[in-house]
Amino acid sequence: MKRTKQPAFGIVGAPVHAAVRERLRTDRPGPDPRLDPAGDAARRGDWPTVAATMPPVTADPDLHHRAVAEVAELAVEDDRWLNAWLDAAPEDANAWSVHAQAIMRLAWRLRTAAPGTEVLPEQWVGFRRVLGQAPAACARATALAPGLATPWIVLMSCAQGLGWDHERFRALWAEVTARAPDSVAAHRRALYYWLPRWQGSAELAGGFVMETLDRARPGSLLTAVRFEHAFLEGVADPGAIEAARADLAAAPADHPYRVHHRHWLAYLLTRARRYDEALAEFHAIGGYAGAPPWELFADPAGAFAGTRAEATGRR
Amino acid sequence: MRRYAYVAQIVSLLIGFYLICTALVAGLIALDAFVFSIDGAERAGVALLAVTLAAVFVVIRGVFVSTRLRHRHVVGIRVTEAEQPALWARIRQLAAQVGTRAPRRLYLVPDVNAAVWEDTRLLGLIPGRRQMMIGVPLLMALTPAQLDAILAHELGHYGNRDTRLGGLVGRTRQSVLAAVRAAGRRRRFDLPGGGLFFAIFRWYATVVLKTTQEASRAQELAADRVAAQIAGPATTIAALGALHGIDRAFDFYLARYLMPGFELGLMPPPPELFGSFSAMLADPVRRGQLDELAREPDEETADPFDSHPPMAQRIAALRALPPGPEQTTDSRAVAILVHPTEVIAQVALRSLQKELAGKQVLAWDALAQAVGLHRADERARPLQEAVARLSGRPADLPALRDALGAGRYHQILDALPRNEASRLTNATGRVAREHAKTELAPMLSGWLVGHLVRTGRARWVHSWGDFEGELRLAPELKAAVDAAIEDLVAVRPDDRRLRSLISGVPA
Repeated sequence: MKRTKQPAFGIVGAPVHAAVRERLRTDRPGPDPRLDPAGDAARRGDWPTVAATMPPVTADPDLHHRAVAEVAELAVEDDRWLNAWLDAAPEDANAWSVHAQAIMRLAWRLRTAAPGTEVLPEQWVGFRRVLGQAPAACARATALAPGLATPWIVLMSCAQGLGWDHERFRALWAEVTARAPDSVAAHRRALYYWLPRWQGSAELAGGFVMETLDRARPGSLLTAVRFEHAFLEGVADPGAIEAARADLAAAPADHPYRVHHRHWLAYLLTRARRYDEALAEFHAIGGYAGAPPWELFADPAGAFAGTRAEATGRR
Repeated sequence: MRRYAYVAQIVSLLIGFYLICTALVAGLIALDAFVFSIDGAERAGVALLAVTLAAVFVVIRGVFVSTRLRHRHVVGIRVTEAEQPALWARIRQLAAQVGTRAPRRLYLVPDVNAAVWEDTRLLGLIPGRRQMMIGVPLLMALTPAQLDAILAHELGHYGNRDTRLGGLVGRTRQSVLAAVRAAGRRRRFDLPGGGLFFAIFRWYATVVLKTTQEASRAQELAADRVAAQIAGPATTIAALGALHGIDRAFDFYLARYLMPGFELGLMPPPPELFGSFSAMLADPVRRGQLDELAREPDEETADPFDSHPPMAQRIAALRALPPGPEQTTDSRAVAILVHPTEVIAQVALRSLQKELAGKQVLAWDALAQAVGLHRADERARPLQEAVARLSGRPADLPALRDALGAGRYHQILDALPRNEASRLTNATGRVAREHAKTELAPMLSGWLVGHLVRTGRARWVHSWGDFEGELRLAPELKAAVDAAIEDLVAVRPDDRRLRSLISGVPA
């Protein structure tokens, strides 16, 4: 069948065919056999299976954080299974971690990701009221599993949203890094805290990125912080692609943030007009748009599809 | 010579204004005559005649009525020298110091304003009776020396020291502005051609205002200098700086303390209608806010018609003057008045005549109680209506308790009016319910507090620091109410404390 060659689109507001968007999943970055069973069970409301298939509290911090985040996102719409789990297993640190993470996500849904000046007063009230309940849930989780990093990472979002001062945040960061020194999730949260739009400044955010890159082991995938910072602050970063490739090449095959890294590469390669390489990354990703940088757009699916269409059309 | 050229320019602008008026009217009359001379065009002629009459009205307004402010237009009371000898003596002394005539009449008005004006005649060419008005809020907020500075400034406009041109410039500006206002006023029937009239006047007004702007501003600065010579530069700066804050404070006083009572048919005793403005100003919280307002530069309105130079410029000019005879005292200018309480009550009764008709008089605490209860009821109403709809019972607290006990909390949340955030984001499920809880918390608080007040377990007392009043409620009861609400709107709601609270309070 002969097809019209796809025209090139800009990435913002690209008029992507509805069917293409329909098939894209924006709730996760890609399939992962380590995470899928818990997510499927949560979707069914089957909390015992969620509890049984969640990574243990001793798992890799990033894997644990991702697993918690994926099921917590489901609890933001419907928390009946989570409440049943909490009632039945009040000593399960994973349940409290999911609860804390879900509260944090719920708060952000009330606020939306809009710039602060566009957030309505009632949204601020709801945001602060809900987010203010997350620390208590975090405290339950950390009391049950003192070595677990995930609830401490949720507290970083509280620091960001509730405006905790720098001293308090640095003390929190010390707790996080003691448990998860290389966590991509934790470093992303810290980046947001230090952004000028939240509790930091251009200097503090830039300084945090420099420090992170200086300390990062190759293969830790902490270069992601650099891409997100450049994207959010509109900073030019000419060496980003090579840094991303090197980091990915050195990363273990089971690193939980490998797939996120591919999303960044696909985006950065398209922006650099290296369309063949970009398409290879898009091919590896498949139909998932639930990752940065797409999540940073008002329309993640549109941004993903538009960028992919640009790479396809210009090849 | 330049001065004479400028005088000639102003005079010709004023004459030009009268010429434009005459030409407009003459042109219309000529057109009327022409239309009436055409057979069968009587109807159009009548319409045109109406336009002509409207135009004549506008012109007459601009030419004759412009600079007059009649007695009946002054909202306030006239005070004679026999009634207020001390205030009059002060004004006479100020006028003498400025080197101008003292006013013939003095009014006390309810505005944050002080002004001197003359009823001029014959197109503003013959000076008329000079009058003065002083705003009661100024008397209450300014020290006597600061009031001197403000009055000296106003009288300074008529002093013949720096600004011989002042009167002429002022008259020209006022005439043109009055015509613009008359032509631009919206009437029930918009006459054809009104827009054109307005456009012509506005164009001319712009020309006049631009030409006279500099003289007008120089006049203000000269009047400031006169004030500084008499009251001292520091006192004048303090008085000018305080005006904006006093204006805001008085508006706040009317809107937050008087209006809510008026809306419920209630008022404080007449001497306290305006009289309590002093009490509000004396409150430490309000005093701090006023100092704050005086410190921060007030946002300048970029009005091209404003005859005043920017406040920052005026203050800088005053700072450059040598120090003068400053007087510092903590008393307020209102103390100059004989029987101040009665006088202020009279001004209030006269200016609020319409608002006060049929109002019941209550002491401030009783007013706070009535207004507080009304506000609590208003807040509670949407929740009460939702509960009544769901339960099919009169909306009382036991109905809410029973609905919660029957596990209908989600239904109640869903039945509340959705807030803007919830609608705009098309919120569903848990997100929509959290938005509803944001609204529910103050509704429930209003309901519980209203009930406690009605059953005599809480009451509001008046507060100058908090216009919503101060809620007097036993600390342990307040803690129980807060905890019950917090539990109910928590992400994992718990209605037990609320239900037992409702069961525990007498109906």
